[in-house]
Amino acid sequence: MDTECRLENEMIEFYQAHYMDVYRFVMCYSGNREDAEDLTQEVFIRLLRKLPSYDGRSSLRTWIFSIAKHTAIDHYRKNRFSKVFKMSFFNLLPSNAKGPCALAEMNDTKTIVHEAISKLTPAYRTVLILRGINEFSIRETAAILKWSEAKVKVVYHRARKEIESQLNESQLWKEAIPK
Amino acid sequence: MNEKDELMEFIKDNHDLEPDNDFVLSTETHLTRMARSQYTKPRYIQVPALLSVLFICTASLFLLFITDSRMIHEIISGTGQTTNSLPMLYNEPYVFIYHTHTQESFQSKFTNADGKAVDETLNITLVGKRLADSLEALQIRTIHDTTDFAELLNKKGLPSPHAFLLSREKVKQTLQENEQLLVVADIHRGSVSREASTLDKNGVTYAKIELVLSEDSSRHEENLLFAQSLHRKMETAFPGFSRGIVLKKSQSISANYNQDLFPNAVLITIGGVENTLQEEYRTVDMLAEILHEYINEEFTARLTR
Repeated sequence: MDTECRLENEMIEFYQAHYMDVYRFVMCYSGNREDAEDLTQEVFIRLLRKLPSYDGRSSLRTWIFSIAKHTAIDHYRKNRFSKVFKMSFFNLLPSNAKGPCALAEMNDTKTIVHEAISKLTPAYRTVLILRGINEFSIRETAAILKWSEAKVKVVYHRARKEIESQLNESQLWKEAIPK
Repeated sequence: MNEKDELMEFIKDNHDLEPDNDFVLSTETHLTRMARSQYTKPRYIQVPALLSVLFICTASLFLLFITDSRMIHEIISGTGQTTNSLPMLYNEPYVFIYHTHTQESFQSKFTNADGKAVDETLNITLVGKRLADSLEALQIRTIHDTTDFAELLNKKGLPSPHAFLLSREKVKQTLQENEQLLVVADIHRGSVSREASTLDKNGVTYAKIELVLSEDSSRHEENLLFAQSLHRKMETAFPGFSRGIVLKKSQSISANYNQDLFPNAVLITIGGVENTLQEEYRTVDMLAEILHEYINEEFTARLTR
């Protein structure tokens, strides 16, 4: 009975300490609330399943995020297929739904930021979010991704450049930050 | 430097990064419930859950008996597959099959110049492939690795006991990439005589199975529980197929057969050099049924929690 309570408490502690970070990560990764909620749950369910095999070799936070990374990438892989399908099939259907409202939404800054992130490759996206949004150190990021620290630096740098140029393209970034 | 940080600040400002409060709370409740049941020993399982597990077990056993003769027939013809299974939950692979001694082959077919039954293509990987196919037909996604560790050894000029060190890397990598795996099986061809390795059932011959465990594995107890569960299932469904569990204490570098890497890891030998591929195939079709049953039970247990 005792261990049962302990593990339960442990799980809640984990969750409370990390849900915000995990949510941010998967939200950035997926770009929409619904997927982010599903993914957050999935991350913690996986975590619960793997808790007994956690060997303490990596720090807890690093461990949680390597699970989050796997979950996000699995999601990306699954979605890519359905996206290809939707694009090729539904684009052929005539669209009559795009009123002025929808167009305004399309130009929403948030949408553009989401889209810019979603255009990045999974590797770029992951490193950008981990370093930029979750603010992991280079060393921690390297541990999560199982990359060398040099690779983290280089790929992060490239990812930034790419997102910057995408935001520039949409005129957003220049407007927002006057030089 | 400042400008660069502003870029990230800009992205953060224009992103919904805060989770919904309701969602946070409901997930917490959900996880607490899962945590409570995950670590609950059987005696703490609530009565309804226990009953439903019992019911499902009896039902599947019953089904198994009814379909027994049909199934044997299907195994013989090598075509049919039973179809009752739970839906695939995540569509991810649950079984990993590899062959540390990739080139183990069969005497009747492919004996080489030294009189050893090894072959580069016609070997135990065919048996593994058949097992993977049978599992897929039962809707269990399977990773079948055919890396030729024997060739790798030759290339690197290492002695043969090092094969397990080479396959170890493969297992590690696969486990890392597939966290949901439930079974890791290193499939070998055994080395006992035909008499010991063959089962004759109503005139149809099958290769016998042996489950080999290393006592040096740091996860030996878990490994043993898993192997026992498989052995019991075989004894119930197909008496005589399993030669049992063999415990090895290693003296060499092959040490723990990589069984310390995963609780449900097992080395399975199927038949011996004198068995035919056909006999091996019949047996792995049966083994697929056993693994299928094991995995479905794992799921049923999870779903009813």
